[in-house]
Amino acid sequence: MTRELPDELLSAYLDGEVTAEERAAVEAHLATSDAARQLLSELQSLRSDMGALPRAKVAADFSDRVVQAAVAAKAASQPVAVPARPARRRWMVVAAAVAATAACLLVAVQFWGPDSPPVAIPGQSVDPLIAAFHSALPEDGQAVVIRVRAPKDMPLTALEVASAIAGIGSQVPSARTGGSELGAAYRSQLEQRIGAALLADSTVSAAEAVFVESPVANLEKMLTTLQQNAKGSLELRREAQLAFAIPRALPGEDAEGSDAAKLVQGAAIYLQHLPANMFRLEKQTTPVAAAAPSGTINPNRIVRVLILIEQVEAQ
Amino acid sequence: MFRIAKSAPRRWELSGNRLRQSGANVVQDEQHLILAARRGDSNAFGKIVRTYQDRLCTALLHVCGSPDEAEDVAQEAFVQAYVKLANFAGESAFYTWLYRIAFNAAISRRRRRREETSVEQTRESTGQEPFDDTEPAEERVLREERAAAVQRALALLSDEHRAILVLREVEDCDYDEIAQILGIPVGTVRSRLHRARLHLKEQLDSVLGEAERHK
Repeated sequence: MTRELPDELLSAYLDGEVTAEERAAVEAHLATSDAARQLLSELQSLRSDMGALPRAKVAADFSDRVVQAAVAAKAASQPVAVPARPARRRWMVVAAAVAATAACLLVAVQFWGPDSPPVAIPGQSVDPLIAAFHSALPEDGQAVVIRVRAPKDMPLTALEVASAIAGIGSQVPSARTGGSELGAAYRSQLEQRIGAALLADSTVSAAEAVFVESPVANLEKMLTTLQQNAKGSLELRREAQLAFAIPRALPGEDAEGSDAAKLVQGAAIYLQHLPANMFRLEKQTTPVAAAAPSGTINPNRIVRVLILIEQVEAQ
Repeated sequence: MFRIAKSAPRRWELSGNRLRQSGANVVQDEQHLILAARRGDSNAFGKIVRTYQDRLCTALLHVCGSPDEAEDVAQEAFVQAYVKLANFAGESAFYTWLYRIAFNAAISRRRRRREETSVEQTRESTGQEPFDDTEPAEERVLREERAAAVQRALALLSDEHRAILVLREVEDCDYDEIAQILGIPVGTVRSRLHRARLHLKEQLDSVLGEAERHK
């Protein structure tokens, strides 16, 4: 095509997306240019090829499964977790496996919202899953690996829905977030503890692995939503605590304005998926018991958590 | 996992804004269903899902490259749509809004799982379970080989080129709809679509040339 008639006009002409003037110009050019006619013919052939691609037909029960998941997700999206005022906190459905520990969960927990001072609520009860999460929180300068046991019938997409509801957006893995490094450190620690030779027999593969950097409150919301989706059968415990190196700015980046700097400042709230088949979990035969948290919990504190989901048969 | 049907109609009867032009009653029905679903009527939402499930999964099949992943993404998109239905203002067609949610989810997944996705998987996902028993075997084989080559070439494109081609050629979206879904100006749609077609042609020539050399 000539410089006066860009190639892309041919595509637009093919799609019927040209003005009358453009159409006249294209047709005049086609009348005199073999190359343009050849290109138009090839573009038409491509359209035909794309049109012949296979089409999908979903299984008969697809809509039922979708509606079921949607209703559960919507119910879970109602504001039930991590209220700014602790008095509004309510009991959640809990797993039978951890119900026996409920008595020890009547603990004094302090919460403070963004605009309210710390308030001690003696005797305030919390969901055992959240209590277990509190007890698993990392110390300053550390990150934790948390194992979540979920029933097999809970779709893994529930994790994405729960994180979205909690305001934790997905982020593409990168060298700046540190999730991959934390995962590597965990794998190394596990291998040292169990021994490389026994690793395969003594462990199971994680079904899902996500690295989350977020305020405690958002993680609580995410876990509560997930718990509702799992009909109260989730169990959680800390697998490891590891020193967490603050990601460096990449070469050429302005350290102050970079993503890495934002992470240092605790401004980032994100979740990143890691390849689950790279992570192993020690085989467990007994239910995971929740532990009572100690001290005060600051819902605004930024924490870094590698969550490994283990799928188990529904009880 | 869903089945791949080769004999489905080329164009959808219910398609974006064209639906408004061709069937006002259908649009009204859909609006009623959306309002009912927004009030929590899960049966109404189920009807919406059934209306769009095959169409959405077809588009996602070619964006994701895997039937299983396409179905997962479609489910995720429908769930998100239901949760966020109150945010749907009706400024665009419902399907455009739904597709945008699905497209973002698909691209997000592809980026984080790129290392695990192989072209071979994509190749294997095409041409399965043909339904048209009346088609001569030789023609079917040729058609399936061609479709597999196109699918493979499509998988070699960048996400943005593959997405715009699927929207135009599989979804039959016009440029305005594509601009809405991708959040880009119509002028960019025109130039990007043309570049995507040229890249697809280039990759298809390469894939077919390679296949020819191996015969």
